[in-house]
This record gives sequence, C-alpha cells and structure tokens, in this order.
Amino acid sequence: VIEGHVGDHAQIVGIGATSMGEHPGRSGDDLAIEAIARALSDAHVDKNEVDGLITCKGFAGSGIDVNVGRMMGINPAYSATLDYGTCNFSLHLACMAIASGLARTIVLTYGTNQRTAGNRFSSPVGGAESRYHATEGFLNIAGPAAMAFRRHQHLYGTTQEQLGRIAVNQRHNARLNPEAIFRDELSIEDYMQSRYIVAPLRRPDLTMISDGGAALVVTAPDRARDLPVVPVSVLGISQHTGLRDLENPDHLMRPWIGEVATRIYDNAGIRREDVDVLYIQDPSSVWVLQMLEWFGFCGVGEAGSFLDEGHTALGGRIPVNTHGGQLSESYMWGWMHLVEAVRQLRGEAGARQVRGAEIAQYCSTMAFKKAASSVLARGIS
Amino acid sequence: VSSRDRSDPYWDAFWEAATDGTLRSQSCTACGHRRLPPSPQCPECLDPDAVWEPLSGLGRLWSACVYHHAYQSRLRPDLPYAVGLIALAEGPMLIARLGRRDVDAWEIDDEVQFVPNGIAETGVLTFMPRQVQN
Repeated sequence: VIEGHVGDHAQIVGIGATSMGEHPGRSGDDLAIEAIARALSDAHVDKNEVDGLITCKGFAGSGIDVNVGRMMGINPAYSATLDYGTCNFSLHLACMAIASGLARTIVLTYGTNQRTAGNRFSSPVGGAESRYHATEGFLNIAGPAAMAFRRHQHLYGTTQEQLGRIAVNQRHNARLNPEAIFRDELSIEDYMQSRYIVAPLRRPDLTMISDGGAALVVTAPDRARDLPVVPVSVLGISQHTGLRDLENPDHLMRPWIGEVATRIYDNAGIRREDVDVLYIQDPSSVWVLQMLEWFGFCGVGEAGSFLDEGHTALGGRIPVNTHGGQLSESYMWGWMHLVEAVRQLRGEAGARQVRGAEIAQYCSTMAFKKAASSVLARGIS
Repeated sequence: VSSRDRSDPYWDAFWEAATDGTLRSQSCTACGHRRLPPSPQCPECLDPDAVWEPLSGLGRLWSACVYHHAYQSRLRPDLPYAVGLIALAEGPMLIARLGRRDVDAWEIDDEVQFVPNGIAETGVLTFMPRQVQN
C-alpha cells in the first residue's frame, strides 16, 4: 500500500504520443523514443536533464530500461523497468523516485508494435498457476471479464444494453478525437447486433489491438515552476492487490479495488464529487462497470442504471474516457488515458474538451491481480 | 492431451488423477487448508507438508462464459464452447469446460459434477450438470 500526499513532489510537465494504429517495420522501443522526443519537446526539457527513466515491458521484448536508455542516449541516475506499466504503476514509481531524491526529472514511457507484429492475445490471464487454463480454452481477459459480467447480471439484473452504453459512449467520444482509430458511428442497436466474442461480451466490449508509443515527463515542483508549460500536479496515488487470485472471495468481481477507493480521495485531499473527468483503463467494458461501482461513483450493483441515465457522457455528471479509451481510440495499456487527462486539464482536448476541468482521476488494474488510481489537478498544488 | 502445460511440476499429481477419473487436491497437514492450484507450501500457514486427498467432484457454478472466437486455432472445432468457474464443495475454485448440455443453458449457481472420463474422451477437464441419484 502506497499512501500519503505526493502533490508536493511530482508534476507532469510533458506528454508525447506517436500516431496510433499501424507502424509496420518499427519496434516498440522505436515508437517509445519518438514519443519521448515529443514529450521532452512539449515540456521544453532537454534530454540531458533527464535523470530518471522508467519503462514497462511490452510485446516481443520491448520496453527494457537498459535498451531504451541506450537508444535515448542518456545515463540517468535512476532507471527501472516495470513488468506491467499501465501508466498508473509507472507514474507512482516516478512519484516515489522523485520524493525519495533518487531522481528529479523522470521520463516514463511505453511503446508497442503488437498489432503489426501479430500479438493475438491468445494466452490465459494470470501467472504460472493459470497456465493450465490454456488447454481448457480459457484464454484472453475476455473469459474472466465475461464471467464477471454474467455474475453481475445474475446478482443485480444488469442488462446487455446497459453494458453496451459504455462502448457506445466511448465511440461517441472517439468521433470527436481526430487521433482515434475506431470512429464509425456505433448505436446501441448496432451494439446489440454485433457478434459475441466471449458471450455475454461482444466485439465492441473488448479492446482493439494497435501500435503506438506514449511518454510523460514528470518533475519536481521547483523545476516545474520554471518551465513554460501548464503543469499538472499528481495530488494523490493509491494501490491495492488481489494477489491470492481465485482464493479471494468473488475474486473476478475484484472487490479489493474498493481498498484503493477508501484511500485515494483522502490521499489526494479531495472529495470524490470534486472529480471533473474520469479515466478507467478498459481492456474490456467490464472494467468501467466494476470501477464506477468500487470507486463509489454509483452504488455496488447500480452501474447499469447509472449508465442508462447518461451520467458518464460528455456533458454528464462525470464524463468517462473522453478520448474513446481502448475500445475506440487505441490500445496503449492505459497510457493514453493519462495523456488525455493531462490534455483535458490543460484545456487542449478540442471538440471533446470538458469545460473548466480542474481535477481528473485515472483508475487502472494489472488484469485481475492489482489495482491503482491517481488523482491529477491543473496547476501546482 | 498434447496442449497440456507441463512446465509446472506441482500440477502433475492433479492431472494424473484427473486423467484416471478422480479429482484430488492437497490438504495441509499443519492447518488442514485445502488448496488448489497445487503449491509447494500452504498459502495459509506456509507449512510444506501436505497430503493429496480425493475431492468429491461436486460443485456449484460461480459463473460461466461461452467462447465464440478461437483464440488458438486448435480450439476452432470446439466452437462455441462453455467454460465455468466452479466453487468445489471442499472450497477451492476450479476452471473447467462445461459439457453434456447446450452451451447457452448454463445458469449461475447450477450444481455441477466432474466428468470422470472427460479428459480421456476430449482432452479437457469437463464438468456436467449434477446427476441426482434416485
């Protein structure tokens, strides 16, 4: 468990991303370096000032710090590789490194060529204990996600149309995002006619697979003040795990995410009602359904009606995944959720801008193993 | 059963018995915790000593899903197929194929039982609706 205010320690001063889609002939690290160059330019920070590098393992051996650092041409004081970045975990490590004095200005990045390199996501979810699931055909996060949604339907009467509101809403948002990959109109009728992949989940409930790179520059407040950018403060961070896996009661419902929710708002010094825009990593729409409930934006079991009432749409009470998320914008392991949160807080989100957005929250998980959340605010706290 | 992952030796005793028609799991000799997946130490008390004991093969369906997409090409002939997460009567949770019934007919909390010749016939660990005797 990581606790405490970090707002005095870490500011996001640069964001960078490649175009999203297909990048044949380019490696994940190649795409990461392009994103890093863009993020450094955005921050007005020279690469030789960077004294911390945090990478996360990607497809086909990409995302190792010692390789990315060499390609970037730096000898930072601190570098590390996370097995599973999903941005929240990488951002939290950056906050800790700055707070501890290990580094002052950190680049964190993720790059992938998994679409053109042909990652089919045909493995079971989880660690060594779940490898036997391959023979039984229990593959991809779609399986456990479908089971979790079936259970949610059984317990609370949630309908497939209600779940479909998530994909339909995110497609609407993506249509306002020129960088999004899936921009064809998607109505709830289209959703209900789309094919099952792992029933009750349909094609629009599951992430696309795409290539791309993303990077952030995070630094200490005294340095952020000198830069000609609108800084975004990391107000609070929190994590919790469910490492005992299926030995946890109702494990696939991930009730342990609720432990993150009990701490994140106190850590950030805000109330949940203060959040203006919400980002939820979405390898499947079920992540959004579960996290709306565990973070208390609606009651447990009430996400179906909450979605029906339109609260998560642009213009609603709490707009969710304004860029389109992994269901419609791109699959960047949640990294573009944080890039979009910074764009919204800077007022740079164009046609999908949430007016007056001051506070953003990002919630993500490492599959069914652990969860994390960050609260960000415009300006230096 | 060529696709069975054999890289984790702790599973060998489980698959050997399951292929012969019996489910079994480790029982911790120190604290009595019944554990599955198999592991070298008890996750409750960390004691390494355990004995393999038979399971009843009975359980209740926590949830189920139906695959309409083959994530590996060898699974294409099986489509559509149902997979269940089963709460075994003795406590552990187990992933298995659901068979001998229409894939869309499964309901949460259905009583299920292990199919003893499932692995021999189809290569996969299979549960079916519980047969009420007499």
